[in-house]
Parts: sequence; structure tokens; C-alpha cells
Amino acid sequence: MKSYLLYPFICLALAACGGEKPPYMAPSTVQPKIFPDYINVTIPAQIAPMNFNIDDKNADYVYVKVTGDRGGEMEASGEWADFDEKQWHELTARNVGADLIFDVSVKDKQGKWHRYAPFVMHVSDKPLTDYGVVYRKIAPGYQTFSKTGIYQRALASFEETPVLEETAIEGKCLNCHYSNRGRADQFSIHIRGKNGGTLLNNGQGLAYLNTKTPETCGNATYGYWHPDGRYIAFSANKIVQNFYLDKQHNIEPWDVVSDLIVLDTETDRLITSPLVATPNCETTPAFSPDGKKIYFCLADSVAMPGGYDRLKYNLCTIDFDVDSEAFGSRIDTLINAKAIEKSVSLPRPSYDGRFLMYNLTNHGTSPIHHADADLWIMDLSTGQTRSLIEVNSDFSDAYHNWSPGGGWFLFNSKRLDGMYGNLYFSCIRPDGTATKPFLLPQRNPREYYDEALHSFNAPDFIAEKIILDMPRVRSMVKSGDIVDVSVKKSY
Amino acid sequence: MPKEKQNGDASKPSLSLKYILTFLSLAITVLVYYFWAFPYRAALSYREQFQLFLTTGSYFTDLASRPGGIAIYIGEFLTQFFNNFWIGAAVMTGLMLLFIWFCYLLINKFAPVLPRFSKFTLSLIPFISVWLLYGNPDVTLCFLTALLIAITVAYVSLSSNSDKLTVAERYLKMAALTTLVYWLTGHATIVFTLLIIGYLCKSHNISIVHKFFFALLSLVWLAANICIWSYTLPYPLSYQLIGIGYLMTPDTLCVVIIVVELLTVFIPYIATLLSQRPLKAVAPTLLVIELIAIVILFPKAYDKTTYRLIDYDYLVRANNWNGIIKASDKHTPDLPLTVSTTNLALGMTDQLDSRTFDYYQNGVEGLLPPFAKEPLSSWTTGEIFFQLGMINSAQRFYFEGMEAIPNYNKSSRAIKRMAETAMIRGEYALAEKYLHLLENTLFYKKWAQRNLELIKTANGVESHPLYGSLRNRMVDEDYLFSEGELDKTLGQLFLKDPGNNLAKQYLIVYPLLQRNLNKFGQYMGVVTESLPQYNPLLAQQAVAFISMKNGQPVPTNIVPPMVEQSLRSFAQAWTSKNPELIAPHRRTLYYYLLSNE
Repeated sequence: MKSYLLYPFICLALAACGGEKPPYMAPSTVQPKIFPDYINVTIPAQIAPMNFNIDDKNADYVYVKVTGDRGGEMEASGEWADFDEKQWHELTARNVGADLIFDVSVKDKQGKWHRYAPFVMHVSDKPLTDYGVVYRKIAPGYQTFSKTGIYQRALASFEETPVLEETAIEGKCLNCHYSNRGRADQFSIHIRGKNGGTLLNNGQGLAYLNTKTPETCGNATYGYWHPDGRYIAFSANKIVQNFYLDKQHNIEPWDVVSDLIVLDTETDRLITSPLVATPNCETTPAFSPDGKKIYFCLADSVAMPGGYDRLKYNLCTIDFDVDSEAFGSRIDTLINAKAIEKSVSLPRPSYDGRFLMYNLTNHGTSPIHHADADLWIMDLSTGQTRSLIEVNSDFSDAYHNWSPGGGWFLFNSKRLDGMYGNLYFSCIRPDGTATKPFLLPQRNPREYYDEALHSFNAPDFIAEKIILDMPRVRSMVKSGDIVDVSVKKSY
Repeated sequence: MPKEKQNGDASKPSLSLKYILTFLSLAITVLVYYFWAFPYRAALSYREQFQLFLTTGSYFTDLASRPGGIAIYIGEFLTQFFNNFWIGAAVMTGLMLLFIWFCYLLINKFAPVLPRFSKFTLSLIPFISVWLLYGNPDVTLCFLTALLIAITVAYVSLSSNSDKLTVAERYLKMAALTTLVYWLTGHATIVFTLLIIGYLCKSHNISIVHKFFFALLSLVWLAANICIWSYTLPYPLSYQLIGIGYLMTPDTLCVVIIVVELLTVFIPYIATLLSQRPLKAVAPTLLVIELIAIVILFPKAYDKTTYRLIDYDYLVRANNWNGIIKASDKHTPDLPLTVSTTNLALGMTDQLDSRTFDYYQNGVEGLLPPFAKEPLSSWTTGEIFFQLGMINSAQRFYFEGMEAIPNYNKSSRAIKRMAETAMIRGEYALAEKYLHLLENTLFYKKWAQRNLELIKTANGVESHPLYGSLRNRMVDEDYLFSEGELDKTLGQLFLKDPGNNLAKQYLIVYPLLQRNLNKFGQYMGVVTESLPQYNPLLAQQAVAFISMKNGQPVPTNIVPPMVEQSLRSFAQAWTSKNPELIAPHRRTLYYYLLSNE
């Protein structure tokens, strides 16, 4: 190879390394104000570079030196701390179970350097082996949504790709994506509008189902897969929204009626039971890890909209037998939230069966619209439950889900501005306590989160990248070629 | 057959013709500028509010990553100048003149020997079609930008000496430029492709077989570009064929766009034909035809009703209340949006409680229109809520309006108002987010920076003349919005702040528009308890009407003799059942109460 061919690469390498460095000075005792707040967070070694901006209008240039407790170092400099992906992964891999120390120096607009007290990020020894996360990007609005779409984002990089955008299917509105323990080939997405239906893949190919039947009260809405991948527990909800006039709140969605159903994806049959299809509200089901029971939320019906603040959901369970395809004959109350003037929503058991995470709010069933919504955790072996205060904020913290590999969970929090829900990750310790959550890394976090006018709705982990046969989906939706489900009542 | 002359000597105009051409060019420039700067300035504001052009790198890369994205980026960049109609009109004029110029250059390329005046008049045909096209407020500037890019590249390509190129090089050039133009402009590439095919077909040195294959391969290559992109673009193929970004409604096929493109392509061919068969008086004939076309097509292109709505929307956005009343005095407001904005303007100028029935009314919906998934209506209603002090509802309606923009754009107007509603509500983190966003714009940057300072100043918002007073007007307790009970909310607003003149007037007029005089009596009682001297003309008329209806004497301490006299005059006319006698009373409260119209 002729040596001159290397010149451009040498120049590039020099440019990459040639960022301005601060003169030596002793660090101050104050840590830098960075966005996102990554100080003292615990991260998986596989995570994308934890780039950050200096939260100071007077900052002109930042220089960061990262040193691993177990060796290795790297630098980043520029308008913000933008770490090289390859070097970052080498450093985190070398420091699993140890700390990364961030030494930050900032040059202000007057040209003066400041060196801050170093801060650390702890690299967890619990791996996060999933490919990434999947979420719906949607304006956290009221009744009208501009462009919505289901997207997947790699955890090890900044790559985000659409799974399905509503523009691709001519303006149909998309509901959340539910997958079976992060499996890319087992998921359901509900599509609303003309020719709307539930797009489903149970691992044997795409199907497009009409889950609204005369015997059920609405479309399959909130879903959760049975571990065997054949059944999905849904709640069928008729949702109405009201709006507040006071300073503190915006919106109050509530169910006119909601019942539980289980969809058999092989026979396209819905299984119902009068026990979970009552005038009361049954919603947000989740199968237990062994698939033998369903956690769900249950509230007594109250006169709405006047009684919106009296709508309190308890956390209940009911058995489900796969062999007989039938619900159990008894509903057990796991948490009587009504008794403490609270309301439970979105139960999510960890896949190893150790914990159950849920939301607790003052009332209602839509925690993303309640600033008081907090994450709670129950130790399923002892039944003890507590607020995850180490994770919760003054704003809505909701839409949590567990990593199929265990150890990690994600959730949606509105803590940045009270309106837009963003994606946070935390690691759960064996005693049920959680580490300080960190915001989904972005190449330039300040620019990204300032410009983002959407929420990360209903996020979940995915084990591998989802590849959707778009021509097939388009043709299914366009032709309205939809299969009506039948209903089997279990008693 | 006349021989083509590269320098166009034959087309050199005489001195007088040169003056005529200069005069015509100047006249067009002045006319186009005047058109956009004065009678149709609202259309500029209308387009500007349907985008949020950011100067950030990610905004560019997001758009640049798809075909037509560059044209959208440039179009949106230019549209942001519509925020100031003097500059906006200059931008519009500049683009249209550029379009005439390139059309002229293309005609000159195809038919250099054609007289200059004929070329000029021919180049006006596509220009007129574009001018008429932009009567459709849903057509964005991105289309004109795309078209300009396509014809510029076509012109540059045709101007470069291709004679020395081998056949393979010619095909490679076509393929490369088609791909480039498709990435730059999207759908408008068809104009480029047809122009280069046409130019080649015009040549006498190339065989018919070569011409045929060049045309075929050019079209196939364009189709291949479209197909390849359709695999990665999150749009159906039909959107690509229609032109992504050209219209605010991405799924609508705009026939006029096709007509403009066809004219842009075929006028140079027509010029070639005309140059081959010189006809006398081509240019004057064309000018007459063009004028006739404008006279016939203009009213259809610039639909009066649509532009009346756009004018009202512009006046609401500018909070030009007197302008609205002036417009309503000129033309009776008879559309839901014009009725509600007229009522808002009357309220903001303290005339609602005396002049409501001077204008057509359509019930309480004319005061507080119901929600509609449509930006203009949402924002107008949002403005009513904002001025009333229903800040949550204002935020909701501005948000909904923005989300209802059919091409999925965000809105500078809505974001600005939402930053204000967030500040008023004390949601400073949210306000900061919106203000940071506006910091990345050209026209809202300084405003955003001022307000970022304001929220960081202790008691800054509280002591702000507008934001502080609106914050004080907001109801405090948990309270759900109910469309059927908005009069109760108006009552709450008045009780919270009796100085809220708008809420007071809306509260009084609301039951009158419902023809519910009992409720009116109750609400007047609530108001006069706080403001004993309050006795507007409509209250006097309502009290006189109630007294007469109940056969009681009209209370002279409340109702002045003139009002009583006007009621008696109406009563005589009404009982006569003579339409001619009733007609002068049609714009009165009495007529509204009795007529059910």
C-alpha cells in the first residue's frame, strides 16, 4: 500500500486526538453540573457511551479524562463530552464491577479553565445482554397525535431504527408494542383507524386480527404474553379522557368499562370469564413467570367523570390454566390499595419470579398522566412491598419493564420537564434496592432531549432486532384482510 | 427551418422592446411584492406557523437523509422569513423571479432564435401557473424550491458541453444527475428527466434509436430511484409519487402541481416549435391570453372564503383586535371561526356586552367553539382560552392544533404559546424546554432568551404584566373541563378575578346566546354583586325585554329611555310580521331571542 494513502487517516486520527487540553490545575471540590445527571450511576458494560453536556451557559469547551479503576483510560473533548464508541466499550469491558472516574475540565467563554472534582460511574457486574429497547414515540398530548411510530434502539450504540411508523401505513395510529420477554419474533401491535386491527406474530408468521367482538367490551388494549408464547392476556378497554382546568394537572384518562381476555394466538380465540368481565374495571394484566396466574388491577365502578378521584384500583390475581384454557374460580387481592386511598397500575413481575414492580398513584389507571405516580416493588417471596424511593422522582415514573436476562429494569419518567416521558434504566440488587437511574444515552444529549417533542411510550427490552415484513404489513392493513377472533367463555 | 444561433443574435430586441421588457419585469416584481406584502400577507404568516425550522445539525441531517429532504430544508429555511411579511414578500418575489428567469433560460436553451419578447411572454406561463398554485395555502414553499433545483440542474446540465461525451459517459451523467436530483428534490425530478430527454430529442445529430433508449433508460432509472427509496422510506409509494413535503396534506394529489410541472417542461418544447414556424404577434397574443387566464382562474385559485379565514387567523395571531372588528364590519362574519374571533375581539376591546348582536351569532359555540382536530380552529379557540385565563385549556388547544398539522410538522406559533402557558402555570422546566427549542430558531431566538432570563428572575413571571395577571386568573382547585358547562367555568374565572373583563362579558353573553333569560338573570346577579355599577347595553336590553315579556313596567333605573324606545320599535315591527319592518332589527338581541335563527 502506498504510504500517501495513509495520510488522510493519519490526519483524521490526529484531529481526533488533537483536542485542546487544559493546563494542569488542582481540581475544585465541586463536581460539574452535567446533563444528563450521570454522576454516581451504575451502568452495564454493554451500554452506549454515556455522553454528556456541561449544564452551564458559560461553558465553551469541555475536556474529560476517564480512568478505569481496573485500568484503561480515554479522553473526550469538544462542545460536549462525546466518547468514542470502541474505546468506551473497551474501557467498560475492562472495568466490569469497578468504577470509571471522570475528570472534567471546562473552559468558559472568557477562555478560563476550571477543573472540577471527579465523579464516578460504576460498571455493574450484571450484564445487559439484550440488543436494545423498543418503544413508541408519541407526543404526550391529549386527543390528537402527530406522527407516532414504534422504534427500536440499540443499547450498545446510538442506532435507532423504526419498526413501524404510522406514515408507512398511511396515517394509521399505532398502539404500544408488546413482546414476549423481549423476543423479536413474538409481539403484538394494535393499529387504529380504518382497517385497524391487532398485528400479531406468535413466532409462526404475521397475522392481523380483529379482537373486537360483540361479546367483549372493546379491542385488545394492554397486553402481556404467556411465557409459552401461545397466549396473550389483554384487557379490553373503552377509554375516555377528561381535562383539568387547574394549574397542576393536565389530563385524566379513565375506563368506561374494561375486562380481561386471553387470546389464543393459535386458534384466534378469546377466552373470557364472567369473573373478570364484570361492570367493575379489570385492566393491565400480566402473567406470572410460571404462566399459572394473571396479575391485574381491579377497581369498583364509580360514577364518572365526577368520581374520577374515587377510582382506586387494587392489585389482584386470578389463576389461568393453559390445559383447560380457563380462568380460575377465585380472585385474590394482593394489595388493597383502596384501603390506603391509593391506586395500583401496571403490575410487572420480574422474569425470575423474585419481584413484582407496579405503580402507585392517588387514583386512576394512567400513571403517566399523574405526577404522583411512583414505582413500587414487592418481594414475591415475603410479600413485603415498598416504594422505590431511590428511583422515583417528583414527576410521573411509570411504564416499567424487566430485562429478560434479569437484573435490570427500565421505566418512563417525566422528571426532566413534567410533560415528556423519557427512558431511564436502573439495576436491581438482590435485596430489592435499585441503583440511581440513568437516562438513555444519546450522541448529543442536550440537543436530542431539547428537540424531542415525544415521549418514549411503553418501553421494553428486546433481545434482538425486530425485522418487520413491511410490504406484507402494508398489504394486510391496506386490504383490510383481517381475521375475526371467536370467543370462548370459561366458567 | 431556421438555423439555431448560439448567441441568439436574431432574438436581440430593439431599444423600445428592451424598455418594454424592462418595464414588464419591473412591473411584475412590484406587483408580486405588493401582492404578498399587502393583500395576501396573511398567507405568509399562515405558512410560517406550520413549521418549526431549527438551525441545529440534527434538524438538517434528519431531513437530508431522505429524498427531497434538501428541498424541504431550503423551503422551510426560506419560509421562516415569512414571520416578517416585508422580508417574506421579498423571499416570495425573489423565488418567483428566479423561476421566471430559469424558465426563460430554458426556453432560450431550447429555442435561442425565438424573439426575446416571445421568450419572455412564454416564460410567464409557468410563472402564472405557480402564482395560481400558491393560492392553495396547503402548498408549501418546498415545492417551488424543489422545482427550482430541478430546473437549475437541468439547465446547468444542458449548458455543459455534452457533445464530447461518449455514449457511456452520457448515460452515466444522466444516471448520476437523476440520483442527485432525486435526493435533492424528490418527485420534482420528473421535470429534470423530461427536460434532458426533450433536449436530447431536439438534437439532429443523434439517431432516433439512441434518443429512444436514452428516454427509456432515463425514465427507468428515475423509477428505479423511486423504488429503491421506497424500501427505506417510511412512506407508501404513493406519497413519493405525490411529492413528500410539497403539500401540507401528504396523501393528497394536487393536480395543479402536475400542471405546473408539465408547463415547466413543455413550454420550452413549444418555444422550439414556435421558433421553427415564426408567427407574427406571438408575444402580444400570449400576453392577452395570460391576462385572460389570470382573470378567469385567480378567483378560483385564491378562494375568498379560505383567505378570509386565513386573514382572521393572522389577526388573531397578531392580537389585532381592532383589525378583526374592522374586517367583520366590512364583511359579516358567518363562519364558526370568524364568529368566535369577532366575539373575542369585541371582548378584548370591551364591546362584547354591547355589540354582540351587531354581528351574526351561532349560539354559544360562537363564544367558545368545541374542539376540532384542525390547527386553525384549535389555535383560535386556544387563544380565547388564553385570554380568558383558562391556561390549561389554552395549552391543550395549542398542543392539539400542533399535533393536527397534517404533514407532521411542529409549529413555531404553538410552541411559543405553549412556552408561555408553561411559564404562567409555573412549569418552568417545561417552559425551558420549549424556550431552548426556540433558541434554535432565527426569529424567536431573542424572545426565547428574554423569557429564559424572565423565568430565572425571582418573581419575574409573577410581576410580568401579562403572565402575572393571567396566572392570577387561573382557577386553583382541581377542576375538570366540561364542554357543556363552560358558563360555570366562566363564573369561576370571574369570581377568582372580578377584574377579568373578558370572563365577565363572556359570562353575561353566554346565557343570552343560549336564549336562557333566567340564567342571564342569575349571572347578572353574580356580576353585580362584585361590580354594582355594571350595566352594559345588552343587560339593559335583556332587562327591558324580560319586563315587557312579563307585562311589567320597564325599570327606568336600569334601562335608559333610548333602549326602551328601541324595544318598542322592535315590538311593533315584530308583531306586524312584516319582513320589511323587521329587517332593520335583525341585528339586535330582541330579534335573536325571538327568531331562533
